[in-house]
Amino acid sequence: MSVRSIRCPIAGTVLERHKNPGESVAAGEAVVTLECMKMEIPIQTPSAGRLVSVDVAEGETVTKDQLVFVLET
Amino acid sequence: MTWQPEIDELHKREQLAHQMGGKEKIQRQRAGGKLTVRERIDLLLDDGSFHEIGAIAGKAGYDEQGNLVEFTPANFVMGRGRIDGRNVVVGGDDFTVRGGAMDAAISSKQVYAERMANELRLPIIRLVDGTGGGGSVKMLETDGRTYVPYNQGWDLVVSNLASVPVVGLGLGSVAGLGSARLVSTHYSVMVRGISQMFIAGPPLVARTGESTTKEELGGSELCAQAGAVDEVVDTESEAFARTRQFLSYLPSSVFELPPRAPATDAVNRRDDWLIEAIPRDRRKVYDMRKIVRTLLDADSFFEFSRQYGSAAITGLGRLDGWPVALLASDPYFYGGGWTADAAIKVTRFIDLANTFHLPVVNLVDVPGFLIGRQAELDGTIRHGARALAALYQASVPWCSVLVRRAFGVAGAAHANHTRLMYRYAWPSGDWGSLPIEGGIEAAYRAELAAAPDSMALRTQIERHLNRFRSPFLTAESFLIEEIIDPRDTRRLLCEFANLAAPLRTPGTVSTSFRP
Repeated sequence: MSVRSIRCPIAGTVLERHKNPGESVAAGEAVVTLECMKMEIPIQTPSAGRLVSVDVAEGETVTKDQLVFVLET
Repeated sequence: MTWQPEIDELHKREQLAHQMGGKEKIQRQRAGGKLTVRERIDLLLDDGSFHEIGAIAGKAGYDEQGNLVEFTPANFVMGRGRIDGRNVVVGGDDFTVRGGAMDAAISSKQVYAERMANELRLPIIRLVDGTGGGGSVKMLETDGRTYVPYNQGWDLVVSNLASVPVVGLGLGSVAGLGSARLVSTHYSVMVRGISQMFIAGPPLVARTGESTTKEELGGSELCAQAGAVDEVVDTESEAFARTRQFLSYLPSSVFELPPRAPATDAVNRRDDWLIEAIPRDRRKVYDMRKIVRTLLDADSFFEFSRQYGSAAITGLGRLDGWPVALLASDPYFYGGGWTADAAIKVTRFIDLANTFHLPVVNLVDVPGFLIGRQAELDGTIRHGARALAALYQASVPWCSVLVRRAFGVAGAAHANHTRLMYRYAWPSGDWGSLPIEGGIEAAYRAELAAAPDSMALRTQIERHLNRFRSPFLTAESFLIEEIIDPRDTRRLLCEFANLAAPLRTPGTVSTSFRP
C-alpha cells in the first residue's frame, strides 16, 4: 500500500469534479477536469486505487503544483 | 636484455590503477547503490572496446631504493571505445578516490578527453560522480596558497557543443564544476536515488540558514522539472541504454550526417484511427504522443525533457529509417500553449536539430503563448522571441503539420514563413491571429456595450464568425497549401524525410549550441 499525492501540472479553473473521497478508481480515470486555454483538461489517476481525498472544488482557481487528490494504491 | 622488466612494471602500475580507491572505498561505492567508474565504462561501451589513456597517471609513493610502494590513480578514467560499432570518447569520475575532487585529480586528463573528442570529431560521454574535478578547501593546505578560479578546458567544453554530440550522466552527488560539466551537454540524464545535482551541497547551503537533504536540494526529479537535466531513469544500466539510443540518431560530429537505420516499417502504413484522433469538440484534448508514435517508424520515438516545458514535446525519431527531430504540442499542458519554459525547451531543441542536421517535423497545436500575470512574470514573451530567433536562424529542412490550432505569435512560430512552406494541415486545422472565443470582446467592444442584450449579440457574432473558420476557405486563398487526410500523414512525412536527406549539409552552423 502506498499513498500518492497528485499535484496540478498546470494552472486553471476546476470545471468539474468527477470523483469523491473513498471511491475506487481505475488507472487513467479523470478525477477532475480543469479549464485552461479554453480547453477541458482532465487530471487523471496514474494508477488504480482508492481516493483518500479530493482537494479541489468546482469553480476553484488552482495553481500549478497545487494538491488535487490523494490516491491510495 | 629485453625491456621486459619495464613492461612488467607497466602492468603492475596498471593493476594498481584498476584497484581505484581501494577495497573499502569501492565497498562504500557499492553500498551506495553505485557502480565503479570502470564497471560503468564497460557497461556503456561495446564489449572489450575500451582503450584507456593515462591509466597510470596518479600519485605514487616510493621507498628509499626507489621502488614503487603505493599508488593512487587520478580520479578520472578516460579513453576511447565504441558504441554500436562507432567510436566515442568516454571520461568518468572515480568517486572512490577523494570523492572525485580536484585534489586527487590530474585535470589535464579531463582536458585531454575533451580535446580528443574535439580533434578526432567523436561524441563524448561524461560520467559525472562528485565534484567532477572541482575544488576542495583541502587544497589550501597542500598548495599553501589559494588561486583565482578558472574553468579549465572550458573552451573545449563549449567548442564541443558546436561540433560533436555531448552526453552527461549524473551518477552520484554532483556539485560545482561537476554540475556544470553535466549540463553543458546536448543530453543529460540523472539516476533516481543515487544522483543529486546542485551548485553547492547541503553543508554549504546550511551556512546560509537553509537546512536541506541532498534529495530535497537537488534530487533528480527536481532537476528534471527545473530543466537542468533532460531525463531521470531508475538504473545506471538504463542511463547507458538511453545514451546509446540518443547517439544512434546523431552523426559522430557535425562534419558528418545523421546515419540512416534500416527501414523496417512500411512507408504506406495508414492507421485508420487517425481520422478521429482529433476530437471534433474543440475543447477536448487528445493524446499527441500516440499520434507521434504511429507516424514515426515503429518504436523509433526517443523523447526527452518530458518533465520540463511540458506543453512542447521534443524528441528524436525515424522516418523510413532517416533520423529526424520531432517537435509537437501536448494539449494536456495549457492546451499546448507556450509557457516560458516550453519556449526555452523549443529554442534548445531547434538548435540541437540545426547543429546536427536533423530535419524537423513539427506537429502543431499551439493556441498561442500562455497568457495571464504569471506568464508575464515569467518573461514568456522574451523566451518566446528567443524561440522565434532560433526558428528563423535554422536552416535545416522543416516540415509542419497543423493538426489543430495555430494562433498568435507562438502559433505562427510553427515554421519560418520566408522559406518554402513545406506544410500540411489536417481537416481539424483551426487558426488565426487570435481565437474567436477570446477575440470578440476586444474587437466588438462598442457594439456589445451598446446592445440591449449583449450576450445574445455575442452569440450571434460568434456564430457569424465561425462560418469563416473552415480551413477550406483558407485553402481557397492558398493561405494553407494542402489539407490532407490524417491517415496519409506517415507516407507524406516519409517522403519529406527522403527529400530532405540529400539537402542536409555537413559542417558547423553559425548559431552554436549553448547548454
